[in-house]
Amino acid sequence: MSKSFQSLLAVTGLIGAALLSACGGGDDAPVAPADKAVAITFAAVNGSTPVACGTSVTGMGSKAVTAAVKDLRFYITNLKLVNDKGEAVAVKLDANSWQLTQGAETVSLVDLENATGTCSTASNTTATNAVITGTVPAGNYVGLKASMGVPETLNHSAIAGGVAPLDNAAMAWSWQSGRKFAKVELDPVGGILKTVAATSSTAAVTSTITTFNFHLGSTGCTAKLDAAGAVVKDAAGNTVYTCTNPNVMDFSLASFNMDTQKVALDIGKLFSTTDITKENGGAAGCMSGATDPECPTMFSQLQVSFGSGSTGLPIAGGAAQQIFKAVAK
Amino acid sequence: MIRRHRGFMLKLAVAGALAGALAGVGCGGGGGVTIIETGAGAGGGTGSGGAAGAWTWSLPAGFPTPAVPADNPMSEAKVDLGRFLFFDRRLSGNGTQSCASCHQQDKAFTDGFATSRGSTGEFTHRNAQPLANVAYSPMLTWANPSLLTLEKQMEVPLFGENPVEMGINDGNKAEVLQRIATQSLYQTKFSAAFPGEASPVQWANVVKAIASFQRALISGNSKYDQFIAGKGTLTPTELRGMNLFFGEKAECFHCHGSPNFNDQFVHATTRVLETPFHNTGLYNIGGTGAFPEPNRGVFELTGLPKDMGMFRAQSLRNIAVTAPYMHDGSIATLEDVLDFYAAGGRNITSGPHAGDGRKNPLKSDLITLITLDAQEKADLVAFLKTLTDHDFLTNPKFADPFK
Repeated sequence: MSKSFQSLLAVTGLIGAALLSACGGGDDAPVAPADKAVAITFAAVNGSTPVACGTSVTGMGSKAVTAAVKDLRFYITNLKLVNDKGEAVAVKLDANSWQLTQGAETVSLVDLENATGTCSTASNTTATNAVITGTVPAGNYVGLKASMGVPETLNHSAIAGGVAPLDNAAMAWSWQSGRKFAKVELDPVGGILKTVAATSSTAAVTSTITTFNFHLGSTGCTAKLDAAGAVVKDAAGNTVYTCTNPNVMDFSLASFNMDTQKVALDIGKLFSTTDITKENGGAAGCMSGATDPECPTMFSQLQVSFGSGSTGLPIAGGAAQQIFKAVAK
Repeated sequence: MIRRHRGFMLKLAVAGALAGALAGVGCGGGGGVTIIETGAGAGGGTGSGGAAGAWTWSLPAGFPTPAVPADNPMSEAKVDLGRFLFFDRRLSGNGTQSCASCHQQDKAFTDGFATSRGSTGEFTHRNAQPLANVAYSPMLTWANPSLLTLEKQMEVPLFGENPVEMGINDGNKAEVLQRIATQSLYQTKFSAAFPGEASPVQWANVVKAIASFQRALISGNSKYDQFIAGKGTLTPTELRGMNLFFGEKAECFHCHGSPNFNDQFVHATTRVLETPFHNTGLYNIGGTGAFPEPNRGVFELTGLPKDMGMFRAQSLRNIAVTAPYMHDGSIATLEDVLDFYAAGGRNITSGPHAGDGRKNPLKSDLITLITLDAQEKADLVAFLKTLTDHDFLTNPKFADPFK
C-alpha cells in the first residue's frame, strides 16, 4: 500500500521534472553539462624510479636492502576527482573487466604485475591494467581522492562465478571470506631471517624464507546468522559481514593533472619503516593480522589505525599518507 | 542455561528410549517419528523424477529437515553431478587431487592424517573435516565464523593459496574448467543439473553441485541409532559408556549433545541457534594461554584475546574412523582423547609448545578434572564406537563413481 503510494509519488515527481524541462524550466535551471571522458593512470615507483617485475629495487625497508618485486596489485575504490570549487565528484566507471559498478559502489583492479621475471608464479597472470577509465561531468578538475580497498558490500562476494574484477583468485582472501585489497610482495636479496622465539624450555629457532608479503584486507570479519540460523543478507542478496578492522586506506592528491600526471604507489615509502629482512611471527610479512609484528610499521605508512581493539579506519582521512603521490607521465 | 536445559532434555529422551527398550516395548520410545532407512542399497534420497529432479529428503529418525540456501535448492541431478566432481582429480590445478583425496568415504570423509597434503605438496594447517551431516552445520571448518555456507567454504580448498590445496588459480582456472567442459559425461550432467542455462559448465555451478552432494551425505544408521530406534541392542559395556556420556560425571553431552553429537546444529525450522566455540586446554604456551600459530582458533580471524584457542566442537558421528583427533590431529587415539579430557586439559612439558593447558585461562569451565577408571574409559570408547555408521561408510551413492 505505502510502497505503491511511494512509487506514485516518485512517478509524479518524474512527470513534474519532465514537464519542467519540457517547458524550458525557467532561466535558472541547470543545463545538463556534457560528460567528460577521463583516464587515470596508475604506476609503481621507488622514490622517483619506475618499478616493474624483473627489475631490482634498491633501498627497500628500514635496512635499505635490494629486492625483487614478486607481485604488485591493488584495488581502488571510491575514485573521485576534485574540481576547482573543492567538490569531490565521483568518477562514473566505464564497464570493463577491470572495473565494476554496483549501485553506488565502484571498484577497479590495478594490476601492475605481468607474470615475468620474479613475478612468474602460478598465481600471476600476463594481463595488466594501469588505467581506470570513466566519465565525470564537465568541469575543471585539479585534485583526486580515492581509497585502496574493496567496498564492504562487495568484499565478501563469491569468487567462483564472481563478477570481474572480483573473480580474481589471487586477490581472494578466503581467510576473511573477502579480498586482498593490495598484494605487494618483495623477495629481498639475502632472504628473510625467520625467528621462532625461545620458550621456557626451548631455544629460539631460525630459518630463512624468501618472500615478504604485504597483503592488505579487512580483518575480524564475521557473518551474521539470524536467530533461526539463516544467513543474514542485505537487500541485494549479499551476505552481511561485519569486520572489526575495515583497513580501507584513504588518500587524496591536492594537485593532480590526469593529462600530464599519473598516480604512483611509492613502494619505497610503503616499506620504508619496516625491516623486510626479518620475520618475527604471524604470516610471512604483513598480512594485516591484528597481532602480526611486521604490520604496525606498514599500517603507519598507510595511515590506517592498526591492531586488535583499534578501529582499522584511516587516520584523519589519510591526510598524512605519502605512499600515493602524483608523478609525471 | 539453554544448553544445559537442552542436554537435560536429550538425556530424558535417551532415558526414555532406554526404558522402552529394556521393557521390551516395540515402540522404541518413539513419538510419531517415521524412520526411513538410508543404508546401503536402500535408496536414500530418492523419490523424485524429472530432469532437474526435485529432491526428497530421506532422513533418519530424529533428524530434522536440513536448511538449504535459497539460491541452491537440492535436486537429484545436482547431487549426482556433485558426486562426480567431488571424486574427479581433473578438478585440481595439476590434476593430481580431488576433494575425495582428503575426504575419503571409508574414513567418514576424513583422510587419516594429522594435516593434509595439498596438490602441490603444501600441508593444511588443520585436520581434514568429516563431512557426515555437514548440512546441519551453521559454521564450517574448525574455527571460522565467516564461513557460513558450503558454497563459500569451498573457495578455500579450490582457490586457497596459503596453503595451496586444489591449486586452482588465475593461470589455470579456465583450463581446469575446460577439462570438465569437454567431457560428454559432464555436458550431459551439467545440463541436467542446471536446465535452461546456455552454458552451465561454470565455476559457480561446480560449487553448487558439490555443495549439494555434500548436503546429501546424511549419516544416521549407526548401531546407536538402531538402538534408539528400538531396532537393535547395545552390549553392557556400550550401555555403561552411553550412560557416562550423557551423565553429569563425564559431561560429554554438553558439547556433543545434538543429533549430530556436536553443539552447532541448524535445520530448516531452527528457532534459537547457538554457535559456541570452546577452548579445551589443549595448549597454554609458556602459561600465557597461547595456542601455536597458525592454529589459534577463532583468534586467527578476529585477533581478539577472548578468542584464543576457541574451536568448534567436532561431531562424534563415525568418530572411531576419523583419527587422529583435535584441530591439529595432535591426539592419536580415542583413548588418548579421553585421557586428555579426564585430565582437564593437556600439560606439555617440553618443546616449543610447552605449557600446562589444564591451566589455560580461557579454558571452558566444562573441561575439569574427572576421575575415570580403566573400565569407564573402556566403556566410553565402546559407546563412541557405536556411533560408526557402516552403511554410510560403504553406501554406493556416496562412493567414487570412477571406480
